[in-house]
Amino acid sequence: MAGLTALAIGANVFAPVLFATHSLILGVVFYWIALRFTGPLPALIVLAGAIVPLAVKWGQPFSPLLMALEGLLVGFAWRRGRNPILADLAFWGIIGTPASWLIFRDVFPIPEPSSQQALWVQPINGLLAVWLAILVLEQFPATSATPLAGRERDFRSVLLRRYVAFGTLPVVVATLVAVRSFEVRSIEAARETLRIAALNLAGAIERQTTEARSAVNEFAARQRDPAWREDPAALERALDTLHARSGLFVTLLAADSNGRIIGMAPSGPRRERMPDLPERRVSDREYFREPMTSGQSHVSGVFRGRGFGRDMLIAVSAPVMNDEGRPTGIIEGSLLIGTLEEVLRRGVDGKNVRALLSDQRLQVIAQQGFDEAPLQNLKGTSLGNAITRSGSSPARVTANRGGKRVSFLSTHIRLPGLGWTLTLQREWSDVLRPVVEAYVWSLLIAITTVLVASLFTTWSLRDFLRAWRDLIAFSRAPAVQSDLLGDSARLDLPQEFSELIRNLTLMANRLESERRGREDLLVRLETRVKERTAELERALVLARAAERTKGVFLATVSHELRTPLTAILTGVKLLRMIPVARTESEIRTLATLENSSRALMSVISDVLDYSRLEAGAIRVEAATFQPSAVLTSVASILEPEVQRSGLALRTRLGHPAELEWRGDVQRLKQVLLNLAGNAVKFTTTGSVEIASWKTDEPRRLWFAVTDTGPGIPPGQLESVFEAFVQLENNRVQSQGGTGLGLSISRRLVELMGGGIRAVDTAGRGARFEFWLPETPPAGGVTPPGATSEIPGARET
Amino acid sequence: MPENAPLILLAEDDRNIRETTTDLLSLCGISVRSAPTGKAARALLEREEIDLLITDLVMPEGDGAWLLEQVRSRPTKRHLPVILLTAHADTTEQATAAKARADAYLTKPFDPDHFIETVRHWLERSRAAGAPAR
Repeated sequence: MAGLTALAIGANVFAPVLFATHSLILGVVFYWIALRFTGPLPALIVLAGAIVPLAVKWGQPFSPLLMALEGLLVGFAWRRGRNPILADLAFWGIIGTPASWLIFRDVFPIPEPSSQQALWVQPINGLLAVWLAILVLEQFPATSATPLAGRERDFRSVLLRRYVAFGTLPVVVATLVAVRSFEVRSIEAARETLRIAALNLAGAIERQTTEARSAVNEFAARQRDPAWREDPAALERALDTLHARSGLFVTLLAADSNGRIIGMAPSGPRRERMPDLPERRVSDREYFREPMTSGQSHVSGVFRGRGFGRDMLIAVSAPVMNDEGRPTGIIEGSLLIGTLEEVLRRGVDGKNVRALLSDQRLQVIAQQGFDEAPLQNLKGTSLGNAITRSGSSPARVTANRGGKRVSFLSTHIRLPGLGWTLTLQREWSDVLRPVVEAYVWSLLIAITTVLVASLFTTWSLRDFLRAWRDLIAFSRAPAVQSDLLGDSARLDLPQEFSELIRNLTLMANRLESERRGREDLLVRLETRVKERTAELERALVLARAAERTKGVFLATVSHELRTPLTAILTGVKLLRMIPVARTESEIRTLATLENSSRALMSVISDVLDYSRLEAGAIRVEAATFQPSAVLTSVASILEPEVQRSGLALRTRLGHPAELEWRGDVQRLKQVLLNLAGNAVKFTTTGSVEIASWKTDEPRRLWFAVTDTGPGIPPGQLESVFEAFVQLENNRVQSQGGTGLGLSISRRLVELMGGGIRAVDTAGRGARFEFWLPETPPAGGVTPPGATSEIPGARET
Repeated sequence: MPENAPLILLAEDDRNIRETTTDLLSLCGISVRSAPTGKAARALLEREEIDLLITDLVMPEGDGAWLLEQVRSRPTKRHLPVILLTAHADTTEQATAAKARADAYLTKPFDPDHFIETVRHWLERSRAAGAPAR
């Protein structure tokens, strides 16, 4: 993974060296990498980033941006691999590459994007960008500065990054300063060189023309007016001689003051090619007008000859003066510009320099290496403006060459004698070549130095790092108390660690003894818990046994109490049934026996019921019954006593007689008998009413027992239900009873799932209400088959 | 005792109850055979034509529930009316079930008048159902 990372980043940075531009191959490589680690979309972006510049021929600033984009994607990709340093590098490339281009484009030498040198400089600049970014980002806390690399700092990477950033700082700065000053000097030297070359070339051109001018001047000076016009043949012969001897001219001619050509050289075959020559007038030519006007010799600008070849020519002309000093005609010699071109060519060495000669009218006379052609007028072009404007001090310009914009070091020299301008331009990349080379080599050396130094540092750190790793491993291993010091002695650690080792050892010892202490404590606790559990289990067994005993006791007591009573009651009954005459006292005694037995039975029943309720030993049954029948039964049971008391007993049904309900008939009867029995007991005159009704929402069966007795004081409506509570009332006291009846009634009603309460009647007697639910509570057992009321079954 | 007097079998382990009840029923013109244990009662049941069985729930050597089951499992005796006497302290499943299989049950101590009424009622029903009179 790391190898691939290095390969990809290296390719990204150095590929322009290997290929012409970010090439298709690189794009494919990155596409594959991005596809593997991110997804199809980023991969396609990467591929486009490689192809599009190729297609569109973008130069700066897009290639840094695209490099940045690729760096971004590479960074995302390597984030997955969690390689922090390389992920950082990729991220830094994002910031650094455009930044370096923006900030440093005028500081660092950046040649033309299309030039060969650019291929060397771009990767260097890329590395510089990375370095710059590291420098900047190191100022910020590590985690926020590199959002792509979301990982912990490890010492080694921090060290390397810091070293790379700050360790290289002096080296890089020094190198850049040196290169910069070298650049400045180089440019200065190049300018000087160019200026001198231009001057030399201008001199050569001047010399070229001077020769011709002298020849023509001399010749013109030798002519005597009017003699020279009178012998055209001699004139021509003289012109021929000059032509042949000087070898400078294409043609020579003499014209009179009217501009008619008097003579011409070369004669001979040329003449035939100019049939209209004698009639030829040159009065329109500059080379005629100027000397005729100024009386001075003149060098014309370039023009196209009217001869057969229609060559481009320059004319050197001189007036022939008469004795009065007035021009009477001219001698003119035409020079092919090719001669000048030859001069230029000789003067321009290599293809990195080009020259252009233009005349006063900004027409191109001759050129070497320019796109412009002779006779082309430069007026209005940028070159023309530059020629007009600028001085001879060489400056950097950008011009066209072959359709591309190229930078040149350019200078313009005036040729005063001729009125021409020589433009000499040297390719800027040529100027910079030594600088670039110096730049590249210096930085390469600097980087190599940094790498070597960092390797050296890492190697020096190695001992420390190894010791650190050993220490970490030591801390990881479980500490065996007795061996701790021995282990640490075996580690070959530097002295700085010895205190740390000692402290670690002590800490380990302490932890060990604490651990042992805790283990012991745990064991002791476990033992305690076991003991306590055993105790609790024993207690539980005893409690259960006690529970059973209580149950058995209740059952036994109940049985043992009831059995003799049954015999007593039956016996009394028996006695009363025996048909024999008894005395009054016998009859009374029997009555007492019966009453007392019944009273005893009632008390025992109450006590047994109460104790069974307390013990939770009473279960409520559920069967279907008719409440109306229950009321009737209760009324009939109470009838004898009601009669004896002289009271009226009423029953009131608030529901249909056929209504059926589910519940425990026995207990219901018991409650009703208790309440109604109390009512009868405590009421001296008046009536007792037993009522029942039904409510819906919720569905309940209600009963109420009302009497016209003394009633219950409002403050005691709740307390009457408490066990052993009896209302303090003489008459009540005389009725006897245990005070358990209401308590049992409440318990039974609640067992049946209902509720009971005493209602305040404002002194008109006592009223007790209770209700039963629609569904008896779960736990009640329905005896199968016992669907009909057992007639007369009751408890007393 | 008249020859066609109904015959009741009383299974009860308490002597006092046995004797007083027997006397009481006799005064009402009902013949009574009594047995102190369930097993003895069953033996009696085999030998005699019983019109009604009154049994206590708690007895040694075959309690009321057992006796009741014995009765109900005999095809001939199935329809024998059974009155159960219970001290009502028994709320066990067995007691409840036994109460369910009995035709009536009375809780001790019971009102003698009520007792006689119940006995007479079930004797009537038994006769009306076509049990052969003695």
